[in-house]
Amino acid sequence: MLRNLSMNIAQSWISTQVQDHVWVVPTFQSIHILAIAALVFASFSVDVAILRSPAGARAIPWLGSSYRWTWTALAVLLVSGAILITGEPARSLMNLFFRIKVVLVLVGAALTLVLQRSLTGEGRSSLSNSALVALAALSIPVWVAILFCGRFIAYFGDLAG
Amino acid sequence: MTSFFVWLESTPLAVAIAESRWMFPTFEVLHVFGLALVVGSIAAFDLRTLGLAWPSRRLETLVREILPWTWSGFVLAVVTGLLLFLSSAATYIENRVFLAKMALLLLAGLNVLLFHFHPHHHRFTVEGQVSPVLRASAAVSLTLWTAIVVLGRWIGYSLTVG
Repeated sequence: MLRNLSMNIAQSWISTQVQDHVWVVPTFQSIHILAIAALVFASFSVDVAILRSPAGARAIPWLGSSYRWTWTALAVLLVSGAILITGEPARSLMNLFFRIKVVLVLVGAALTLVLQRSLTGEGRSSLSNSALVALAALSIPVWVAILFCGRFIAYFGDLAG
Repeated sequence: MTSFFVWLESTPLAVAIAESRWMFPTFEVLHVFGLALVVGSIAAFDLRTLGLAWPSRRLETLVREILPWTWSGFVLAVVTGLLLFLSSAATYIENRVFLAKMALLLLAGLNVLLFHFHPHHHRFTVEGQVSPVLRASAAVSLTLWTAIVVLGRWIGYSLTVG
């Protein structure tokens, strides 16, 4: 199914546009990296604050800003990532590390949402301090693993045969 | 001069990186991670200085908080960058995009020095004052680091395409 999807995308007008203009891929890869930088700083800031003091993290005044940056960066990553996939669909969709990356992005986003709701939303007291620490400690390696998977797509995991 | 870089890429470590299937990609990921820490932390400071983001983070505490991020990211990016450079030193040293990236890194470093030695620096860190020069420095910093990321990505394409 994914093989057919990648073939259909490769034949689309937008895919040929991306392939025909040599500047598009490196430009969107650069935007992708800038968004990763924003996400890493915004997300890790909260995670490290939780690991230092889970009780104190609930009172951090910049939590709202941090989560705005995290979600904005994630949106930019999704849009720029979609454009990059459009240019070379088989390279992404038919790659083991791309598939692992997609799963990890969903896990990272879910962790962010749970932590955000627990720290700033109505469910402020829904998670214990030890649960907050566990989720924050999990969030950091998940984002690092996403970074590894994203770069490894270029080198390993080709499933196209 | 060129022979020095040819010698560099013939050293056992350089050959090991060039011939290994996993070393170059791994160092590349770690380089991007280091760069993300540097750019993310510096951009947060620059945007806060310009009044565009993180309004509830006090500037003076933000400076203290981001420094470990910036320096650890910088060390990681430099070490892995050197290892990546070693693998094809003679090629990189003649690549204009790579040289432009190095020039911008130098300018970004000078910009940081300007910030640290600026006469308003102490007032700024103690009282949260932001002088026009520091705002200009933040704008220059944001531009330089964005360009460094773009050029860094273009190096790969300039080696294979151009």
